[in-house]
Amino acid sequence: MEEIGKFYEANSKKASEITPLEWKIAFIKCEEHLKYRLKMKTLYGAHTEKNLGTEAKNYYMCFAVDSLLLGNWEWKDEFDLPQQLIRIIDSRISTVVKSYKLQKEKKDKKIENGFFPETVEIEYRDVELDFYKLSGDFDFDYEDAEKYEKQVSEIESKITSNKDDNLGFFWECIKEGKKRSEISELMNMTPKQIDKLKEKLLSITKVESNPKETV
Amino acid sequence: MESKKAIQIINNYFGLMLEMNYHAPAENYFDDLENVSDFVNFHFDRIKLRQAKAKALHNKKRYEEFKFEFEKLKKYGVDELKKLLGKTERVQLQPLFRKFEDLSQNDEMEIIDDSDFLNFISVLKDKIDEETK
Repeated sequence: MEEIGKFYEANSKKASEITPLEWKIAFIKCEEHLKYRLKMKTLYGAHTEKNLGTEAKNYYMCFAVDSLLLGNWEWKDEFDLPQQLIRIIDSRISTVVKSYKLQKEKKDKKIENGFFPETVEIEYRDVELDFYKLSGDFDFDYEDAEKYEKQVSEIESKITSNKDDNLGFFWECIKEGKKRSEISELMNMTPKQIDKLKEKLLSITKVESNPKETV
Repeated sequence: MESKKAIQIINNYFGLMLEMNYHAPAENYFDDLENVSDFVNFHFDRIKLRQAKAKALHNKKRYEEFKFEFEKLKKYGVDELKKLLGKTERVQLQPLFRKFEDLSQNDEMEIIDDSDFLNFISVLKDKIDEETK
């Protein structure tokens, strides 16, 4: 993608106002996003590590930054820099997944390296609706089901032994697929307090984002 | 536990992490700034390069557009172009007409930063468009 888009002038003006600190925070958030998003996709089999290679994170990040700086993506005022980048990343992942699905349908033996679509395709999506399921067209991949069962059981046992009622309730909310705002309302807590619970959950369960690794 | 349920729970968990990360305020990450990953450093260092590349591509595109219009105007001829303007406009734009006639190929690259001259080209282009409607 080496072509100047129609939003170049407006985007470059906005980019010139971004501080180094803001860029770094944006990359930290995007790395976190990609870590969960890509591993989440393995649940559907679309993005196995084999298909993605180690460069997937960099591929999506470069794509997002270039889309903004070259002006192929409209930099909307209502989103901050990390949110703009995350939205581009998810849009691109969606495109890649569609391409994977198409190839799968054609019964290609394997997805070759560099299977990402060549064209600059940008689809504007409501990313917040996609957090819990980006690739709606895919079924879960049951190949590693046992590992997931074991992982969930281990998390539950750690939460039980921690004896923190809030944490237990938080986990129950996750199990039921509650969204951030619903959890906040159900637990009568601010988003900041929920963030703290999340940190606690991560620290006691050491839940890595890779479901293929043991807990 | 059913397999489907376990996968769904892990899916829900990742989904919530994504949502919380997306909405987390910048200050949540201040502590992380002291020790950022290679990924963050790599992409941070890449910004300036990509901005320079984007600027170069933009200039090239503008130059190509300018060149296209410029060649079209040259074919039209200075005397014919002058006829399209009123007397006052012609006098006002006289210095730019001189520049237009004297412009060498080397100057053309620099001209894309000359907003007066670009404006002049655009005025002439509009006049021709009106004339040929």
